Amino acid sequence: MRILLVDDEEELVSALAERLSFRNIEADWTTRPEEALRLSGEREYDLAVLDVKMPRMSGLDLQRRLQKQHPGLKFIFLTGHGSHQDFKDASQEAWAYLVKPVPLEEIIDRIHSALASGGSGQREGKGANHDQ
Amino acid sequence: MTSEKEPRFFGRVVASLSHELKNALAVLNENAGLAGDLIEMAEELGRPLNTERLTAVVKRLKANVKTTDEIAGSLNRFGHVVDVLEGPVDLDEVVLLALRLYRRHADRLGAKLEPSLEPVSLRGPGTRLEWLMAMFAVLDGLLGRPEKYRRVDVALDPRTPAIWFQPSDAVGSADVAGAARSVESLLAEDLPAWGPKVVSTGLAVGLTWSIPDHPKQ
Repeated sequence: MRILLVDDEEELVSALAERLSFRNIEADWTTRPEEALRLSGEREYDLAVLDVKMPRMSGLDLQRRLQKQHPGLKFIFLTGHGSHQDFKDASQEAWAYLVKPVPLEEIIDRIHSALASGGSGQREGKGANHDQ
Repeated sequence: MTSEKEPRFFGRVVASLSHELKNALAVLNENAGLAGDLIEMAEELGRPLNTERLTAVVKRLKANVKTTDEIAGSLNRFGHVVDVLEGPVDLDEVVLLALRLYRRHADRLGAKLEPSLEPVSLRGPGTRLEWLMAMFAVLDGLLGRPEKYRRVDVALDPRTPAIWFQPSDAVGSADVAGAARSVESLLAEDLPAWGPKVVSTGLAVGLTWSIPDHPKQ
């Protein structure tokens, strides 16, 4: 299993990748959406975990571009407390929409359930911990 | 100013700061988890504790506690802007607060806000809330432009008097006169009773409360 992590908070995304690696989940990370597109063009990923709000390119825009490159790619969105509209939009496009801070066990559970689901990257009636 | 604008502005600023707090908490959460993982691996697997790695994580945690405290401080200062609802307003203080509160939005647009405040004490009419809203309107006007400015220098000018916003490093061709029109249009929606005016020099857009005799060149 190989995961792509994209969040503009380097100290978050690098620590998350390291913790996932301790649990035998290989994760590449980047703080820049453009770099995520480059990585995705070079390597095969099973799932991408994307921050919803990033400078210059939103997580939703990045998700659409990654999906074009890899139609089978699954997605999980992370947010630091987005608006209700963000929740609606992101929930339609991803397996899960998680509000930071998220316990690592929850992220891992969502990764496993998304990858076990087969089919599209969109969730099937479960998955959001939206706390508005 | 209409009564609807003020709660909307409060909502915008509080949502932005709470988003920053959530991100800072997420960094703390992940790095505290990482420190725990390193200790647990040493205990359970009998590996020597990587003290160098752990020290780096602890340093990161301390830095992020400071970041979180700074965000909470900004939230607190913003909450207190309505404590005094009569002027005059210390503009040097308000400018710094406005730039701090706008920072996350500017970051998302790929722009830097640079205060270049000389040690001057400049006071203006109205309330701190009105000035914050006016400054947000100016920044929205400048950073919403199609030319996509990546830097805005902000300075107080006691001679005019005015707050000057100098946009630069545009992705497209700079059009400060057009930016001034955008600002004027946005500001008209939030115009306080004392009527700040937008002036332009071709290089900078100024927010003033009287027509300047000698606009900045």
